Amino acid sequence: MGKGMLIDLTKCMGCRGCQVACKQWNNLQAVPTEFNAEFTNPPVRSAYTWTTIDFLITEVDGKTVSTFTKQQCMHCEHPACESVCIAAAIKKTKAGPVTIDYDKCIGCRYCQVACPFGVPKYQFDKATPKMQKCTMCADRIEAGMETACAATCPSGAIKFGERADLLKMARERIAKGNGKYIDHIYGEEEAGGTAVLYLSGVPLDLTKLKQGVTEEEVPNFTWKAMRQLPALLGVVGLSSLGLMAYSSRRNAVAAAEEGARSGAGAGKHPSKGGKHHD
Amino acid sequence: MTSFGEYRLTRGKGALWLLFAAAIVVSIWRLFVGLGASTSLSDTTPWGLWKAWDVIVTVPLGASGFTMAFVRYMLKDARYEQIMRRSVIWAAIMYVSMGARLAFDIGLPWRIMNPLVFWGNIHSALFEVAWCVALYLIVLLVENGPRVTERIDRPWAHKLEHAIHWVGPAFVLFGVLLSSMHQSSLGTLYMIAGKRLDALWYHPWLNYIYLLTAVAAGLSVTILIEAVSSKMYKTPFQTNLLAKLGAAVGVALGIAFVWRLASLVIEGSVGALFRSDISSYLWWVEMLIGYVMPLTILARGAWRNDRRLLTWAAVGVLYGMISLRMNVVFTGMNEAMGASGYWPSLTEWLSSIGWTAGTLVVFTFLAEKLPGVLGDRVKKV
Ligand code: SF4
Ligand code: SF4
Repeated sequence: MGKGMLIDLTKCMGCRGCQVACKQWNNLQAVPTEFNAEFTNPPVRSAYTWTTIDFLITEVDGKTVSTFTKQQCMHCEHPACESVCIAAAIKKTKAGPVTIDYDKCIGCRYCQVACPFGVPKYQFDKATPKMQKCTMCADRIEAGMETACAATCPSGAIKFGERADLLKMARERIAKGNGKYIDHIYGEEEAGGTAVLYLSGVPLDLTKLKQGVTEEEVPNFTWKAMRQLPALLGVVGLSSLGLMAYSSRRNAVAAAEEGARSGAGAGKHPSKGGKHHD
Repeated sequence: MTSFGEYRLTRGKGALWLLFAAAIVVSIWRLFVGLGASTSLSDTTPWGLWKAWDVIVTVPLGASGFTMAFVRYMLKDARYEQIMRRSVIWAAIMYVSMGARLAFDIGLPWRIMNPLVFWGNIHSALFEVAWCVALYLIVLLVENGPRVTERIDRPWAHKLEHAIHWVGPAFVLFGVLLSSMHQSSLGTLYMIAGKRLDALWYHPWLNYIYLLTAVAAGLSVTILIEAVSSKMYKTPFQTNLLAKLGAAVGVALGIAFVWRLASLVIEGSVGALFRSDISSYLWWVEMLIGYVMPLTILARGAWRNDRRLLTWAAVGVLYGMISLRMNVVFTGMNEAMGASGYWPSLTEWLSSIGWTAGTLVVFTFLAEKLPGVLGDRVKKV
């Protein structure tokens, strides 16, 4: 199994060091931003901002609760984006990251429609745009390093490692946490499993993690239809050929009857009656 | 010796040519400024009017080709020859136009052929659509070839025509297979959304619903072509033949209708019909105009043999086909994609309207230039 990240939301203090590290390592340009009530800054992820700390400030039982959710590509174990990519530009690598090959991408933007987490972002502002998203620092992983965000995080909220180990670690933390965590590892089952995993101390609807994500492997949604194409071809092909044979016969019989009635002899190519020039 | 017909430019046609020219200008301009400046597209609406109308709707609008080729060559009914010719040339126009429009919609147009030539992904429904459409263009070329070769009085043209005549049925079969694949795969596209798609339009087998409605819409387009051509060019409106097509439309549409309703019940989504919000109203309008109205007409022999009613039924079917596809792309995905309130930009409108106008006016051009398309007229115009 490949690498992943375990993000412990109870440890995050909202410093946004990961956002800065991400921009720095990946050479992402700064974007104009604006003040907003929830302090998420920049307010939305884009082709130039691959990860954000999403702030959520609400009231629960009269008490103000504020949570910080680090968001980026989940690096699904069975990525919808990879399965729909017309150009085979998106690949789930053995090492764990899901990456986009800019030289192959044609910009159809189907991956944006398909991703259950709404992750891929396009450079709509460019005449020669690229599809962008978090790469889980695939280049750093190749060089034996951990992701930039994990390396930066001062509170140890982001752990980088083998997904299997991280899952074990997460289970231990829940078991030993004395109720500090809710009993759910986000990403263990979501979208059929993702390389990025989350632990939360509050119910998930108090975080910015996407709710109601399917637990099925998303590529199966379309594959179930596509794998029936051979059968569809068989049915349509055979019935077409059958109809063709039947119609030839019907036309021949009709022509013979016609011939017998008029006594002029049957036409030689009864089925080609429509071939007329004008 | 060649003998092509003469094209008569009228004021109406001139206006359509102008719109077409404007669309081409807009499309080329878009290459220089990028999608952001020329459209209302964004990360929350990655697919807009150009994908929805110019691709996902335009392809079934060209379904007249494979359905009529099927009637003419699989059912071997020679009475449909002239009707088939018009339907097949219309299909060719729609597909060529769609291919061009798709090129301008994707981010890097000059790469449009790359997935086909260098690399591809058989798990992608879009890849499958692209391949089938590319191959189907060849089929359409063959199916329409005789309209040109028959006008050229040269030995090579006669030979070519003969060859096409000989391989024709095989190509027709190939075209029917390709069309079954890509018309259904256009429905598969949004199946990747699973239940992120609004319950009103979610269907576990959206691919087959798209195929059925493409068949119904294709034959309806044929009926409308006949209606317009009989007005414009005084070609005979063969009500008895077209009513038979109408019956077939009824069958395909009826199956889709029942299957859609059944799936709503099975999925437990009937409550969604009474949400009294805009999307539920759109669903009702789609069902009443697109299914109930045409099915009511087409179910009765006397009604579908009435030229007026048959034409209205065809219009209804097209409305239903377009509505389903637009609703899946926009209304049904609105919430899942973040409810960004997308509205197409002026240039998106201009491009879509202009390219569509182009398909109409190119049809008049080819029909008038290639007399074999129109055939015998009731009265010379
Ligand atoms: S989260 Fe979205 S973009 Fe990331 S791997 Fe999964 S499907 Fe692809
Ligand atoms: S936009 Fe690029 S990466 Fe995304 S599906 Fe299309 S070709 Fe693949």
